[in-house]
Amino acid sequence: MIATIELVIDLLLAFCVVLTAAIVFTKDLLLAVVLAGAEGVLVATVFYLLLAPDIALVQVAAGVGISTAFFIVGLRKIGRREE
Amino acid sequence: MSGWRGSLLGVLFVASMSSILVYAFLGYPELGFVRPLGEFYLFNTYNFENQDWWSASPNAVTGLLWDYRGYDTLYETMVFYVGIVAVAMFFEGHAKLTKTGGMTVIVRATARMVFVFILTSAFAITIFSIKTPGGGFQGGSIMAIAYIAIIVALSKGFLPEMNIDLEKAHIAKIIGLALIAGLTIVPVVYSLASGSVAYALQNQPKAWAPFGYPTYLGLTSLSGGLIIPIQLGEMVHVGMGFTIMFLLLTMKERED
Amino acid sequence: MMIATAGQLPYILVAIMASICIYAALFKSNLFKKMLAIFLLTDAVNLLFIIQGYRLGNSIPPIIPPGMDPSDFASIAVDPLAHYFVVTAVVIGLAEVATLTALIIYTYKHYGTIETKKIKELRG
Repeated sequence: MIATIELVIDLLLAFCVVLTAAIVFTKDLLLAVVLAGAEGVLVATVFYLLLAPDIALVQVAAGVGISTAFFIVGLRKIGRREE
Repeated sequence: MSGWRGSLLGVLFVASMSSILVYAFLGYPELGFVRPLGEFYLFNTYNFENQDWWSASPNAVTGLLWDYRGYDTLYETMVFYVGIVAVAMFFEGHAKLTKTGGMTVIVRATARMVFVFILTSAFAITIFSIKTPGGGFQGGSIMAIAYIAIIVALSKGFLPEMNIDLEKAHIAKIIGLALIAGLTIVPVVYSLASGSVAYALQNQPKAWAPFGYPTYLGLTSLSGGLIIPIQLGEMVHVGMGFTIMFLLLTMKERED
Repeated sequence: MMIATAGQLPYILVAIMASICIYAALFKSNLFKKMLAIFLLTDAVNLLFIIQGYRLGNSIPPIIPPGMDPSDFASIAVDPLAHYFVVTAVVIGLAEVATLTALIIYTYKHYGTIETKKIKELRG
């Protein structure tokens, strides 16, 4: 018997897999960065559902906020198109 | 590798790699099992009956970070420091503050207010971390977000008004590191001075090692001993480290 | 012969996510894409740690509520050791990403491109 919380976690992880594939195959690097931020939010939600509030805090701050800022600073210098 | 042949090879690679990984991961037990070491930490973290092993912190993760596994965290701090030094090696020589436009007046005023709120929440998350989720790494990341938001909204040229620039950030980071190092060394100095046993990074007194940071503030309020001050140091180190990295990464672009 | 049960589905999903990231980090030509893949790979590994520290049933976070007996707490709380590893790993992974961004910007200034194929032609 599968619990409801586990079902939600499985759904979120499946969505994470889809987002990862989209990030790898898109040609627009800025879109890839935005999708990576969205995936960070999903991962933080999974951490919270798995009873890890400490990790959810650090994931929201570091994995969504700061990393996106770093990536966008990098993209402003190297251009957003992949060849 | 191009066209359909490339994507076919990619799908084959992903399929074989994930089957290998699945075969490895299924060796783990199903959800619902906690290994004995984890149960040891859970049982002892706030156990009044066995005060030789406790960490005086109801939050087990915080107790693990700076009491049971303090040495690990010290070396993680060192890895982070080396990361900052590596970024600084590439960009420090070209660092230049240029006064450019920034955003509109409304955005700037809002950014200043939000900056204060975010910084307050970062301090709160760090200070109350022994009873609620949080800690130095979390508070530091949130602090860095406050500074990055203000850098983006106000542009770097306005940073001296807010009392931030590269040198001040470096000095604050070094103060945080010095706090961590000082709290690590105090028990060793005590041991040398008094002749009794004490360990580096020791938090609570043991039966055979009498040195300990105070467990309670006043009579009943739990202080966590070494944990809260050392996490304030870690917060400043992580927050300022990310701010320095962001400043260095944005700087060279304005120069050319 | 091992047969996966429904409780092990999270492991399988994390394995697929990790292998997509490994594929991109090895075979993509764009350096920025490689860095993004490495960043997502750290997320996948962190998820693996937290999932195998989870405990089914009426479990609680590893923060002891006031007045609870430690042995009761140890029998229902989730594993704090996995949480400990991930707290530091997230921050260190981000420092690594910042270092890689600096390296990529430096490569772009030097070669004018971040495609490994073109860089190989330029050198060769």
